[in-house]
Amino acid sequence: MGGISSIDQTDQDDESGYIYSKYTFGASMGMVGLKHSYIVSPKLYIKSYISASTAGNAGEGQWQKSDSTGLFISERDNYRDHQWKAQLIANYKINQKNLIQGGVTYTRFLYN
Amino acid sequence: MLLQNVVLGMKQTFDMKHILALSFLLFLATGFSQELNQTVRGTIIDFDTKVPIYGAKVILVNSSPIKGSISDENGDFKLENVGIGRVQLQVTAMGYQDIFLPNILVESGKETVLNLEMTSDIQKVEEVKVSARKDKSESLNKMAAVSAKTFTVEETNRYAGSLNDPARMVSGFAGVTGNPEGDNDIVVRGNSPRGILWRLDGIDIPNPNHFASTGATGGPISALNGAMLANSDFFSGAFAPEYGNALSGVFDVNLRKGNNERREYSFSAGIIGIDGTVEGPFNF
Repeated sequence: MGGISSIDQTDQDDESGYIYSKYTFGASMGMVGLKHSYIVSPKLYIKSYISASTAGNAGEGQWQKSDSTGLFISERDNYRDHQWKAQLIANYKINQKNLIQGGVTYTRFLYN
Repeated sequence: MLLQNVVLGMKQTFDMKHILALSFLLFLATGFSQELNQTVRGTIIDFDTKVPIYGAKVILVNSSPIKGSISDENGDFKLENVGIGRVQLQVTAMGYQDIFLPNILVESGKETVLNLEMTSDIQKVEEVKVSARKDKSESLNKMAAVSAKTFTVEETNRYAGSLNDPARMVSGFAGVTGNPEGDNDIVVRGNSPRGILWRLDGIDIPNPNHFASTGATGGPISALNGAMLANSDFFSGAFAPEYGNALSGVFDVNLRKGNNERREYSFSAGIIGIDGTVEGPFNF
């Protein structure tokens, strides 16, 4: 699964056409995962997954100069984080009333 | 009959060209009035062990003559020639709690594929039949005892202001609030929207919204296509242990199982965009 989106915003006077500010923003994300279920016995199954994902956004804003002669870049950001995840869960049915579930989850965050 | 009378009555004053045109309309009316049918099929497995259930009976409630099917060794069942519209299904199997599905939407353009999980009925004894209707407040995840609710994709279409978006829909749930005019961030019992965990088919995913900002869990437009989703869970507290990183709420969204027997297409257009899907078996 993944997606990319972006938008441009302009603050402009309708009559004079003068541009007061501009802002550009974009975002993207993507992820891929694999999951697996294994039935060990009629009472026990194990499910697991491993996944990698990335998400980020970037933007740039321009504002009017104090002498109204044009625009200057007033803000800029660029952020992205990646994640690795893995999970293993065992599900054991003790009897008709009780079942027990246990497992581990591993997460690795990478920010930039 | 009314149209036929109109045609007969006008024969005296209209020329043959008009008669033919009206007759064509009559055939059209006859053609559209034919009954449309669709196939309802799916798979039934044991919730606790994920083993297919053999011999489960699936009955179309209020059908005459009664229409039903029995699951095979793979848990698969199929009901053919089901009239389109909303139907009720009842699923029974020895040793399991009955499942009653009161509001299944059968459409002409797409087969209805159901994936059902049956729970062992610990109250069932010989010669005594215990049946239970599906409790809307009960979640798909049986490890969650409270603060969990299952929602259907259809509900994301039908809730006012939800715009096919699960996050906007749950803002109407108890203890949840959102901003109907802004992003679909939700506040669950006063907690920050940043504490929401999104899961897709059991896997933790980043924020599934367009124009998502850093660290947020919402956005102005959902990137999830409702045509690809199945029944899903929303939790507002007391999370099951597998949702380790959630702080305020959990969306446990499931992907719908595609049609593995025939190719189907869907397309929709609305004020927030267009989407299209293709599904079907691979031919190797």
